[in-house]
Amino acid sequence: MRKIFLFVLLLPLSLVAQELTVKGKVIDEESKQPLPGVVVLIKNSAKGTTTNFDGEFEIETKKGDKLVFSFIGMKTQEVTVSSNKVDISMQADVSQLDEVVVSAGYFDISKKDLSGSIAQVSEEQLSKNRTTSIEQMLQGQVAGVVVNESSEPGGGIAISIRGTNSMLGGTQPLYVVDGIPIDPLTDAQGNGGAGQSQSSISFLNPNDIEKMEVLKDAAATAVYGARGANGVIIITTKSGGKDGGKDALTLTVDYFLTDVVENIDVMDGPQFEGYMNQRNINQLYVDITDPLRPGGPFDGSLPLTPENYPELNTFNLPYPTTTGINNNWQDLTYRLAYSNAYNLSYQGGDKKQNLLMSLGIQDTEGVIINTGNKRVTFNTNGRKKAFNDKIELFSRTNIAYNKGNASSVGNSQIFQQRSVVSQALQFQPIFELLEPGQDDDIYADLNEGNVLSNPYTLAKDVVDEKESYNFIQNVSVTAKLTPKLTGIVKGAFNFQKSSRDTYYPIHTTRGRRNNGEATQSFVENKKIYGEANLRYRNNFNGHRIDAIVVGTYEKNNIRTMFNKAYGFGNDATTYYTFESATDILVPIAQFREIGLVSGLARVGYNYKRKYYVDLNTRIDASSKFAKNNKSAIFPSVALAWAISKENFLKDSNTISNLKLRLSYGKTGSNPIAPYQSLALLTPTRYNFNNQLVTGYYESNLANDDLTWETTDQFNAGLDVGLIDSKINLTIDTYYKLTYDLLQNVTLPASNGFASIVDNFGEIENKGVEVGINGAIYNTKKFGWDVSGNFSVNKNKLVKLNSNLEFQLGPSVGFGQANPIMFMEGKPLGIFWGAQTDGIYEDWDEAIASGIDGAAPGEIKYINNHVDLDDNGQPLTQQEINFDDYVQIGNPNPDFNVAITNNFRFGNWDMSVLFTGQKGGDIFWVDSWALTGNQKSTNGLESAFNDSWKAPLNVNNTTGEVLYDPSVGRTTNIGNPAPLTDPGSRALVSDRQVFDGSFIKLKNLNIGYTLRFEKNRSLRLYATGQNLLTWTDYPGYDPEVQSYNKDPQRRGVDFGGYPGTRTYTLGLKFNY
Amino acid sequence: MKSYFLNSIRFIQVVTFLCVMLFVSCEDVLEEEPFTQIGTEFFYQNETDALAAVTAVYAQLKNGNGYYRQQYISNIFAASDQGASSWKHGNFRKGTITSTDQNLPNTWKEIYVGIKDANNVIARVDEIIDIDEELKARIIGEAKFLRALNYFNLVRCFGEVPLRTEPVKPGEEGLPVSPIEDIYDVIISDFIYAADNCWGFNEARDGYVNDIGRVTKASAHAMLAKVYLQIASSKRTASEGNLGNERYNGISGATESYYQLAKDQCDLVLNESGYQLVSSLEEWKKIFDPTNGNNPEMLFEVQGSSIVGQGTAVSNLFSPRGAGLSGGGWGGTNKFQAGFINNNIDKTDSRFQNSIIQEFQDVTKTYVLNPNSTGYIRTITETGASNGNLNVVYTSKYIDGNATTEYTSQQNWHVIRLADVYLMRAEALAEINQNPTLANTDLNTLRSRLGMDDFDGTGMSMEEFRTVILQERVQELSMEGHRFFDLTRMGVYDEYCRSSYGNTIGTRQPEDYTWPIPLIETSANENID
Repeated sequence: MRKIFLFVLLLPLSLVAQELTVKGKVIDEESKQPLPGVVVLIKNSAKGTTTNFDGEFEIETKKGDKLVFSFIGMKTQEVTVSSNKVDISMQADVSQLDEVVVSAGYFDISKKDLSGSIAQVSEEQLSKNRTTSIEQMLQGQVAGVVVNESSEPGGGIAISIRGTNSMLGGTQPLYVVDGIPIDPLTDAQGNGGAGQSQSSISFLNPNDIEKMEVLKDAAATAVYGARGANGVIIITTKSGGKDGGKDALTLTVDYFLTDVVENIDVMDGPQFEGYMNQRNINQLYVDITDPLRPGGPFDGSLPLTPENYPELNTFNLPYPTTTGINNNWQDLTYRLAYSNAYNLSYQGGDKKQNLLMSLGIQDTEGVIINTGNKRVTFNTNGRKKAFNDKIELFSRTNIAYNKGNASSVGNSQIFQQRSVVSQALQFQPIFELLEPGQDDDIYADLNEGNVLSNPYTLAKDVVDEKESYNFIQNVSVTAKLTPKLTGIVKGAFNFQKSSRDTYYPIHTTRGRRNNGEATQSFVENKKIYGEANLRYRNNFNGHRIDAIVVGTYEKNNIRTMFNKAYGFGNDATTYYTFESATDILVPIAQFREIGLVSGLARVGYNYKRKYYVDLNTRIDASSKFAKNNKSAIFPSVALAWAISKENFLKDSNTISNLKLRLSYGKTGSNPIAPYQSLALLTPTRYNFNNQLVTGYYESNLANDDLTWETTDQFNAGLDVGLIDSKINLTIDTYYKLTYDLLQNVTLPASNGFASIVDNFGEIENKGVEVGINGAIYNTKKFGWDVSGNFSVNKNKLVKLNSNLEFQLGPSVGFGQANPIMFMEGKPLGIFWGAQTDGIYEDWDEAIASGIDGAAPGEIKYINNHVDLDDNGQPLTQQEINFDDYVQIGNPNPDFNVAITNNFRFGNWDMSVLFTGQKGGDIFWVDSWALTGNQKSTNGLESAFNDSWKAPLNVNNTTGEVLYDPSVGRTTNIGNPAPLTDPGSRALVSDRQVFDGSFIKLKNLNIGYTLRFEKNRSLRLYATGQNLLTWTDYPGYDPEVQSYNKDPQRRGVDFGGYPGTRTYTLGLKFNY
Repeated sequence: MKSYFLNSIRFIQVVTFLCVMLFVSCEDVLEEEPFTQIGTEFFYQNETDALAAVTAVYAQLKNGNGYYRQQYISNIFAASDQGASSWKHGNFRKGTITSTDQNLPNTWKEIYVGIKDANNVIARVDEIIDIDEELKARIIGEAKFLRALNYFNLVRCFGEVPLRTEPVKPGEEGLPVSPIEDIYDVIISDFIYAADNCWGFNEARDGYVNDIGRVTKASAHAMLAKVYLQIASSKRTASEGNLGNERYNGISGATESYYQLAKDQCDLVLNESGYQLVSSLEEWKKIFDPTNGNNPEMLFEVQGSSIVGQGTAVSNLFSPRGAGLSGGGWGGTNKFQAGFINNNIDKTDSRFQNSIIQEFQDVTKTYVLNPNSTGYIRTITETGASNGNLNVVYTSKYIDGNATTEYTSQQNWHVIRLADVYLMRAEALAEINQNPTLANTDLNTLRSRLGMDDFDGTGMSMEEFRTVILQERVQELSMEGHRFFDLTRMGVYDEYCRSSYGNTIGTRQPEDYTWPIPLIETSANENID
């Protein structure tokens, strides 16, 4: 059967055989190795063959015919047949070797042949930004990629690619490291509930990265169909064998100095005392001028005496004299942080067998005292070509260990557990640090009787130890089955374990509630990944085909445990032992299994590298969905036209490259917890007369329709290369529509189920991205190139739900306020609340407003909805409530921009990166307390200075009160009156929303390279990160996000880690 | 060339084989098995399941912070004239509560979770065949009692609310609000079913025991009495022009008939065995001991226990902080304010005097009740130096010195107790006949057990009598969660709050008789505006 098949296939060749059978061998000139797969064609005919594994070929031809030998990466050669033996040695085509190879996921592709939108960041670019995290290396590098800032050591950094298109899916792209998709890493559960997201790729050493590719459009991401909806970042780590068999040793040493960019100006001791006094003065004035005051309001006709105004009997100033204490809690809690990092790597071997080993040690201090993270990474990989180079074996091992203390950084939503950062701003400056043995009872009086801990104590004494292990073993076997057909079998095992142990000592805010509170918890994720693929490549007569079939299998086995105890006799053993606790809570364990099975087929075709077609289909099946909805198909198609290769442009000197790209595709997302489609019961406990019994209640409604969240994306792009590609411009525009959104649909609470995970709604994202780079000067002595990118994304919630036009987002802050709104026709996650228009000047204005609670010095809320009585008549007293709320902000930025300048002057080099953002409002939760002037906690200096003050003159010594219109300020002021019994100021209003626009000098790097013989070199460099920021945002940092990966709470700053500036000094030694 | 093909064909065979293997194992990979939960289709099979299901309905009474474990208790306290609860409850104090108030969502949610659980038991346990019939009726009776209790709390706090009595199906919309007469119909028929089918205190039948702490026949009758009295007095004041109770005009039937029904139910309670009033003041004080839960004066209690996870927060809510009278360093938010003591009660009453803390110490200070019983004189313990006054008074009803932390008090929450039944019957009897002297017997039963003087209604107007009965109720039942409802049903809410808080901030208006439905409901329920 096989023979017949072969015969039929070879038949045409034998038929045309006439005079001569030419045999020969093709070798690589440089390595003298045989070259398999070389295309041998008889010129001006369709006949041809390819060389076998030994580089040999055989072809029937005539004397005088020309044979054309072509091979990717080699110069094409023509030989006239003169004898029956033709041996050829082919030379590398330098122009082709220079071509940048882009990793598109399961396969590589020449950058010139790209039909999708993929941006590459090379090692050269990466190595200049000496940042401590990989995500930060991407800052400002790629159009459409927004990287937020997080200065928390080991903390997660949010990245979004082309806007937000998911409610539950987060914005996090899929990270693929050396071909293996990486699962997001979450902290083990902490004391305040769930853990924050960690960086998914924190196990990687930034120095080990060779390049990163960002897959943006559907044609590119569709190969990762099921999880490609948020974009894909492909990370390739370095491997050996690059330098033609030489051994290379690289050492880098970095020292980092990190500082808080700027403290926020809160009141100092004397100012705070003045504020406290002013509260009483204002309150007195408001009380005695109240038109409804029994006995009539004060109007100047009667003297201000206790006889006329009994209110004066109880009036006093809390701080007639100063306490003399002036503590700046920010100074006490923040510090200049020293960090360092060492990396040592060896690479050696040749293309056939090579080895890389790399060790990285990093010790990062946080700017909040007592916080930090230590990391050790070890990465080794080796490659061996075997069996006549037909088989390539590759093994890679990554081991990472992280350990750090986060202290009490996060804000917990319940009760009074404020974060260090919130407390550093709000804690009263007139309190001292605690003396040994002193209880923070002394703080209670100014905190409404609540005993709060000062931020220094919280930072110093609260323990929140996070530790994680990550182990990835990756093995692949590549077989060259035929010169055109390659098969790969890949397997990987990934073990992640992250643990978190916390302890709140008895004297801290939270610990006091429960006499010390400890938790021990961990998350463990074991993942098995298997992949088999077959790739077929051929080119003939200008046709190039690149096809691949892939099957993958993934299984995650996740286990979590959460243990909590309280009632500790003393703090000595902290979380280490629960035996010392009186109350040990029932452990909460979770066991989860998640499976994903996928198949992919892709055909890339081009004709003369002019016309490109790329077709892609992927089938994914996920265990998370309902029984009959587990699988889905994600297809994509891309077309490209290299216009510059057409005759009319071929010889143009100006336009060296012009390529038009069009693509459409579908991608999916399954970001939900498992078991959401099932109707489930959960155990619970109760006791009858002290006898424990177990019960079961229905906790999850079934959802038989639960299925994939899907994104349709169209992309049109243009690549332009000008003046011999000295200037390159890439423009992309896209339209994304995400539908069947996976949402936690809030059910009416009266149904008894709080929410259900369901597919509802549509989100639209559209935008334009422009990337440009140009070499302005490029001489031997001096080089200057500029690159920049600009991206605009418009985001809209097209449809929310089957029956609702709006839905409130999750609460933020202690007050359980819901400032975030999901409303049809509006951008995702806008801020929704009351509008304000300054401050009421006096009672006349307040009463004229007709609004309930209006009083002098109170916030003027705008009544957008007239409340009517039963007869349809406006009520005389209007209330400010939800009906009056409007959009007060939008966290989605208008545009992002970044510009990099690279200079080279002899041995000096310098790069400067500016990034900027327009728009992107921030909801600053802390501003409620800091600008509200309503409590006896500290606030912004500016908010007090610009606040309503009563026209009363009070003698601090005698306590005598005089009406004096020359003091006080009641007009044209920006902030409400400090009062002891203020009105309603806790509404969500535009007073909490701030413009997040900024320009930053993000990164400045200067280096000097000393070159020694034998390619040895030493580069010394200095880097500054976040050196300058221009912004109107009054909080710490417009780039900080407190809920960094929660797409439902974007643009919220709630005690977020302060923005920092980092200086780095380092050296890189190549031996 | 041949060998390449052979190779590739072999490879394809291998890959095909692997793929087949893969898809065979696919089914396994894609099948979901939730290890820590049970699928509903495997449940509701037998009496063990039925008991577990009804246990969950009880458990929901104190699951989370929103209901009897904490928030609801503070809400109904803050809404009364006794005190203001925590700083978060400022809107209750000022009468400015809105649908976005932070104290409402959890209470609302958690009560409805309890209703959902009860609905599931009522519908599904009914279908179980493999079960003792009397036990089955009891379990459904317990679930109905708890559902009725939940709705009774809802209707008194929120007025018209969605009335769901069937298990919710996937994809179902939220229900519109129902008029209160429909809600009361369900409450009454549920309590009647419970009274008919629940068992006696600790009663054993067919080898099963009605565990102490479960619903009993007597507790169902008592709750019925409370419901009827609520309707009767609310209807009465509504007809007298009270706008806050206007919605009760929709309930059909004569006001007197509801007083009569209340009285009848009280009689039925008092016929039941297992319950008894204590006979001395000393014993009366002990009925509030943390270790004396489920004593014969208690008809139905939410169970607290020192077992891990079974504690309540009531000690912390009502007892002073750091004084060894409750666990943890928090608490003491719910306390009598001086205005209430001075103006709204008889502070010389023995029951009041014996249910407040007279003296306590925290880490550094000593507190001694002042002669007016309106606060404590504070001194530094070590030096004896005066440290000003604390103008609030703590109840002693929820002390638990053994509580280790905030949520580990073994104090039960008394939903209803026997003394309330006597007080209700006294009120009903006087109202039915418009004759205060008919209350004498019951009121004096309560007073004489504590060695107090007799009450005599002779010569009293009904108006005067109502003031007295309100006072009798609060002297006996202060801080037990009845005051807000007593003030509203009697139509004197505004008046009492003003006398307690003062004119400016104590104002309550008709709309404050109930709280607004929280925004989390209205924004997710298209059938409610």
